[in-house]
Amino acid sequence: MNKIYIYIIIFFLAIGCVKKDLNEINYLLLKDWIYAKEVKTFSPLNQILDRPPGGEILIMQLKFVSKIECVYYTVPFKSIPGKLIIFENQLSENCAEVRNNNGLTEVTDVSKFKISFENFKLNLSFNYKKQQYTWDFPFYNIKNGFIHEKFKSKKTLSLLSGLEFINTPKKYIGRLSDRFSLGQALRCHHVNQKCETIGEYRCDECRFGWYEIADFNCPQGGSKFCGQNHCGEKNEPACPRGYKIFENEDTGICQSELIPVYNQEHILVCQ
Amino acid sequence: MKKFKSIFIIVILCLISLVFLLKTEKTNKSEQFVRRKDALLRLIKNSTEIHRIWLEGEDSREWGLVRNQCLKKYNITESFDESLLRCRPMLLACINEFLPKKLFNSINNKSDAYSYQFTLEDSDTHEKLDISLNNKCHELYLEQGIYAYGEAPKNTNADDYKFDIYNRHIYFDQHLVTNDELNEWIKSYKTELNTITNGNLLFKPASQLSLKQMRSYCSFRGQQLMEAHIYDAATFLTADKMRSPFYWTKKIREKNISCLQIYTEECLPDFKWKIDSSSASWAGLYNSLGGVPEALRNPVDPDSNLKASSFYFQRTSPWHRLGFRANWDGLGNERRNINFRGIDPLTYTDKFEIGFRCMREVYQ
Repeated sequence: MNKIYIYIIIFFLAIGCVKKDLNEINYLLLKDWIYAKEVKTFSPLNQILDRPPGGEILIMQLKFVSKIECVYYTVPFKSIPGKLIIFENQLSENCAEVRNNNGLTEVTDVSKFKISFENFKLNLSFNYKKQQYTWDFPFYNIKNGFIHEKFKSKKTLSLLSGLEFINTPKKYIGRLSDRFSLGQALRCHHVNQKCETIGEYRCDECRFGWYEIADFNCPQGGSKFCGQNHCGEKNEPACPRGYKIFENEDTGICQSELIPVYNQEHILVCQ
Repeated sequence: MKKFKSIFIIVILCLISLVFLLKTEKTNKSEQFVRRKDALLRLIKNSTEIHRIWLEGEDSREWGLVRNQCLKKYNITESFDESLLRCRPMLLACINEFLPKKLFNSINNKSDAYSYQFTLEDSDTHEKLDISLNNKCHELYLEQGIYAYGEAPKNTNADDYKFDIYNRHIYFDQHLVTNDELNEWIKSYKTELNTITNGNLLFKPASQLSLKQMRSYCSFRGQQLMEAHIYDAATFLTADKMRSPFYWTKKIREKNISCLQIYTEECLPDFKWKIDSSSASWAGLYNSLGGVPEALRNPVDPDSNLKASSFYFQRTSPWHRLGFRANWDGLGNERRNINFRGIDPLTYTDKFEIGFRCMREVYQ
């Protein structure tokens, strides 16, 4: 008889407490997703997702400063309920087409799910327990490159150029005292002789700015170092003189008593 | 059995009331999340408003409402180019202080090289949002192309130093660094400078720094000290061998030069010189001739690192030419620190004001 009581209690408690409220999920997603730096959608936009019936599909991947979030949707079919599933991945791992992890957040009984993503704004609309819901998410931190126009300041292709939301302090690299001639300067962008970029571009992380050097005369420019620019000075890199080579002229600028010479790494250095 | 039944009914009643309580709690909790979400959306909307005021600066309706109170607060009595208030925290701080509706709660000290950070807080829910606003709206893009360095060659057979900036995105500061901007550096970093400038000096050029300090300041902003060849690119109207020494005309000689074109010694009694947006070069660089001398980094000829054209010289002085520069040792602002190549100021001046500006490159 005691067992029955226990079952009854568990049953009622389960009804009362376990599931996350939909409004809570909406709030938590909004609070989290406004910091997304990149959003990729994988499912058709602006139409109700109804294929494959009963199957689970990856609909979206959101990239943040230190994590990736994957959003899956189970298309409802007969006894299989529609489900919205969200889980976190490490930054290095992209979302798999087939989910290999348990959901961090799950909403069951979802149907008529539709996604639209336009002008850095995401809209999710769906039915939940026969009621229609629409969730909007603006992405102010997504940058799709820059616009460089003469007589204007730098414009970022984003929802509002120059506005960002912050939840983690930005990490910086480089010290003010770092000098190329002393072998201390950090290379934040490495371009090889085939004009390929080696590794990641990190110059945006340089605390004290960065400068480009003259090396392989690549169309996209040469390698870049963090710190104060001393180009043209003794034992420092030559300043790039241009991409279009000037006949009978050096491709680097050095102070008048110095000459540009390639070092072992094929960087033009003033000596 | 009767006793068992009554216990069972009591238990069921207890459970029903428990579930009811939990449901009520859940509904309250749910409403609380709706409120918090709405608050967050309000903060997002407020941040776009702040962003608008940030960019509009002196043109914003809000500035018009608080202008007098703000200038009074900072003891600014002289007129200055109020466009310098764009993308500056002072304007927002004043609007926040003097308008009844608070825009934000605090300006974070942790502002970085490229932006200022503000914390917004909803008064009802205490929901918080940290935003960052770009501080680089006073810089301009230098169009890609082939440019010339230095003055026009004396004769047509002489070499002319050319360079190009194709596939490079160079941005330069339109105006000289102000004391208001410098104050942030002094407050943020342990520099040997410890005097915070106030009042009418706030929007005047920071002009008492050593060359090393100027370079450190630009680094603090994630920039570099303006380079002589980039300065020439942004100021010479054409890069041909017959380029004009003046930024507003292609003529080699110009007779009637006004104080608005070059602010020289003769202009001092008429009106005070100030950083303003009336004397832009073709690329939008202000004060390329006249006003205060300006320090540059010259990677070609390090001894030509000072734009000497300034109000220390009369209108007829040969210094008022683009690309013609004096030598500054960068250590002090006294007469002995500057080599004017024999073309000295006629009036004795003990200390020279020397301004500077910064530039940077952006990678696409």
